[in-house]
Amino acid sequence: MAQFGTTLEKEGRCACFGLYGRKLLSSKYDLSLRRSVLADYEELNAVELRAIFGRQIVSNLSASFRKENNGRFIALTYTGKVLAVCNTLEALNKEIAKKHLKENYYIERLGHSTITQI
Amino acid sequence: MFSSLPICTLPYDGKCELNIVVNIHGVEKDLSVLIDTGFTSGTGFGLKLPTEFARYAKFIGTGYVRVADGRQVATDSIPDGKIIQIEDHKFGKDGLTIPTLFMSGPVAVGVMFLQLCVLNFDGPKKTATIEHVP
Repeated sequence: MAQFGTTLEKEGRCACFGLYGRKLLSSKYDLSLRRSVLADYEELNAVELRAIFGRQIVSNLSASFRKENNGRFIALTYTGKVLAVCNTLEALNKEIAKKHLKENYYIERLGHSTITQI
Repeated sequence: MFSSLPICTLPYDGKCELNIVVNIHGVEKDLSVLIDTGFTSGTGFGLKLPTEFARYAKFIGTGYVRVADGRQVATDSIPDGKIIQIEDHKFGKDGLTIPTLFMSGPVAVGVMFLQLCVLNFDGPKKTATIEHVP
């Protein structure tokens, strides 16, 4: 699951999200459009691609949800499923650890540009 | 639960490093990590591993973190990295679960782990001791 490339695979699904790329993108974009979208990002590595797509998914959440949870930490899958919303990153990590996930996810602090400072 | 860590004496010559064994979703790796007291528990993470170790994870989370020079960096993480051994001491089957970042730069263990320990730095003697307090 954590192995990624930055190119499209033969069958035309997005390599960034493994098995979930088809589900995420196929409903809106055809293959040629997907190729053109990802061509813009070919200089980026897989981590950056996942972060960009994750941020786009968060931006598609309803404005009311984002307002109600402003300042809280959210984890959601690349299919748009919200895994957890918590007040702290530590609590969010504990919640996610309990779920025995099989898919990747994106973390954001709503209303903030970063989740933490290292 | 994990067994207690006896006092380990470490060299401390301007920096202090621990030899640990980590378990990333079933894959065990030995490495030397810097004890970084500036890697606070408020960051939400307690262990920083090389980016290439992310390949061993069965699932990963991605998010932006701000680094010391102010840049936003897209970074992978897992909520359940495990420290299973420090120096010669094993923590038992389950180890100690620590939220883990995969980043370039120094490999480090942070305060989230150190909060479970008594850590003493002796500058003149150039040694440090670390002891887990259950």
